[in-house]
Amino acid sequence: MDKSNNSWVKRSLASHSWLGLFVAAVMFLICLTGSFVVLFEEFERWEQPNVEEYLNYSPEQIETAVDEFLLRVEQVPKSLYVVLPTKEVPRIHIAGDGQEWFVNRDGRLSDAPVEGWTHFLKEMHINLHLPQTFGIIVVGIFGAMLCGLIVSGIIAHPRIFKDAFIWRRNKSERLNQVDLHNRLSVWGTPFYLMIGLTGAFIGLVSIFIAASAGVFFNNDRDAVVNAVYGAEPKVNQSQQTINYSKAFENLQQYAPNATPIYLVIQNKGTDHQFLEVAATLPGRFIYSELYQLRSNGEVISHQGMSDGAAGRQVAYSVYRLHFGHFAGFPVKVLYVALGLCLTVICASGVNIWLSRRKHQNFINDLWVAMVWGSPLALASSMFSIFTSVPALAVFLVTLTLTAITALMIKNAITSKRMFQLTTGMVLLIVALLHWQTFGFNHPLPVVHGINVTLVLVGLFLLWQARLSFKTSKAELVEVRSEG
Amino acid sequence: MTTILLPIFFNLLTILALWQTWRTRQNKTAKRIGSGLLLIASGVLWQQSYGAEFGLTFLAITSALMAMMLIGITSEKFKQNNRNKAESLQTEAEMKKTLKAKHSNQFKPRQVTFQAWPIYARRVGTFLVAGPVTFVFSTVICLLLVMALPGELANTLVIAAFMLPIMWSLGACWILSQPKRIRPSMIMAGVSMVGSMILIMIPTVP
Repeated sequence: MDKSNNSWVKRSLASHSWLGLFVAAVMFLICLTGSFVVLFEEFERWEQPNVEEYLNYSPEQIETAVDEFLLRVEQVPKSLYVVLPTKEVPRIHIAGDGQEWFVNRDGRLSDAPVEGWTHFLKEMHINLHLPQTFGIIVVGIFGAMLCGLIVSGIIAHPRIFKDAFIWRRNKSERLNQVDLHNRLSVWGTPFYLMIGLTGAFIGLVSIFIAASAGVFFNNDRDAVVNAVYGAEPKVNQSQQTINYSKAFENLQQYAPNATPIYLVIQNKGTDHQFLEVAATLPGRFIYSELYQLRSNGEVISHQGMSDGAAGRQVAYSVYRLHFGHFAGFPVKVLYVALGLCLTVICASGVNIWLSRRKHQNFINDLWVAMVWGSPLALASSMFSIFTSVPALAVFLVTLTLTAITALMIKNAITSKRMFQLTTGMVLLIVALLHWQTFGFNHPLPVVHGINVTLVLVGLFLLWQARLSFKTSKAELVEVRSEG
Repeated sequence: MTTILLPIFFNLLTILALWQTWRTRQNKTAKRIGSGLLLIASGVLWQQSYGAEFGLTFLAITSALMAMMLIGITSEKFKQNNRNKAESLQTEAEMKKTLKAKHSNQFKPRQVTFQAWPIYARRVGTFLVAGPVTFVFSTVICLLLVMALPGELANTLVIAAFMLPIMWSLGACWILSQPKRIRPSMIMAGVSMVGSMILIMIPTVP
């Protein structure tokens, strides 16, 4: 390798290391929570398992639900959403102006969705519990930094092909971490790049819209949004009663492949009232195509999310691509696996830096608390399902306690083992408590699926902690006998 | 069932072929071509079974996971081989010395050194300057792109919106990689100013 190339690699490695260190802790948290957020639909069902579930619905049922919703609210919302059952979430709920209820089979409203642990998890990933727009932008910045880290990491890795399949686990701890970091990074590059790019787009698009509106559209942000996503149709003198059965019938003829996922009654009760039906199309990443219909069920048009400008299709595809919500549950599992790989990459990146240092100090302890304390804090926050304590409070208190504990113990291996042990036990208790609260013979398979997974992960962590304890003990005995 | 099994099978063959190519020392070109063809074949099969959008994503995801699993499996063997080799090469005394060093380091009182803090402070300072400078630079360039690119407005806006994070992160990485960071920052700030003036002077809907 010539000198200039070598210095280019060195400089890329330096920028990769520093950028990585700046963003490591928050990036780790975003990746960890993001891996689990993929399953938020399952978690929501697990958290509130007593809601009636079914896949079939009727126009009469929707009509009854809308009427009851309007009786419950003080003001008619401008947009009234009826979210229809899907294979992933076989529940109907109705929402508008921040009020929301599930719908029973007979069309009557039942419980309101709880804003519990799953909500906490989603908010942690989407905006780090910061004020809404600001938080999304902050997370978007981390998405952009992820893209930068990927590119600088590739440039800083001249032996990318030579080392493609190497993982030297028995050499030094540093080489073990370097190989783990590089192999997981290189092979998952297309996926991580996609996650980073779509995440950055979701987070930073509001800034770009504001900038474009300021420069090109006299600060009219809606004009920018309409230019990309299309504008609402103008409907006049619409009839008041919505003919849902005619609407579904006409939609079936207009788009036979479309599967409705939700409908919106726009401008309810006014002359401009119309029905908007969002429907997924097979084999497409777009969140949905939007079909607009008059109150009498006549199709007006569709928004062109599936066949409009390429830019519109791409912009409307980022959500499903980022969260892995397409092609069913197996894809979600693959997303969780690769999401956890990205989390491991974050952790191993800092581990490499730590192992390169000649000394150990409080940073080692705090990092162990971050890496092994965050899963413990997430697991502990699950107790909020059974109590009235907010999940965020439990999470923050637990994370602080883990940091204090690690600083007091002053031994990364012991701290790690202790956090693994505690997380394992917490997961087992959560699963048992859930079964006890909602019944061991609950009819929903998702309840048992998640509880069994919690038990297995819990047992695995206990086993890991025991293994680490035994190894350390054996090594210590050997050292002492020598010393 | 074949719609999923066949692409997975070809995907697995591709990864195994790549692994075989990596392991071998001779006839690499032929094996590389073979691996490439297998990769194309599995891509086509995924695309035929699940369409272009899902197919390509499945190809990327499954290839990554298969390769990672292969690395995990083979590393055990590698680990065992190396351990045997290491054990034969390393004397018992040396091994004990390594073990002792590990544990003495583990239980040694933590040092609080402040030697590196000025370096950290300088790096944080650079990052705090490089971040906003490159962000303004990339935003201005992306807005200019919207004006310059031909085609539908929806397309140019979306291209620019995707370019923004890419340009920003690469710009930040580039500044951080420079030994002297003032000059590139100044260049970016200058370009941003000129670009902003162009945007102010031509305030039309593209």
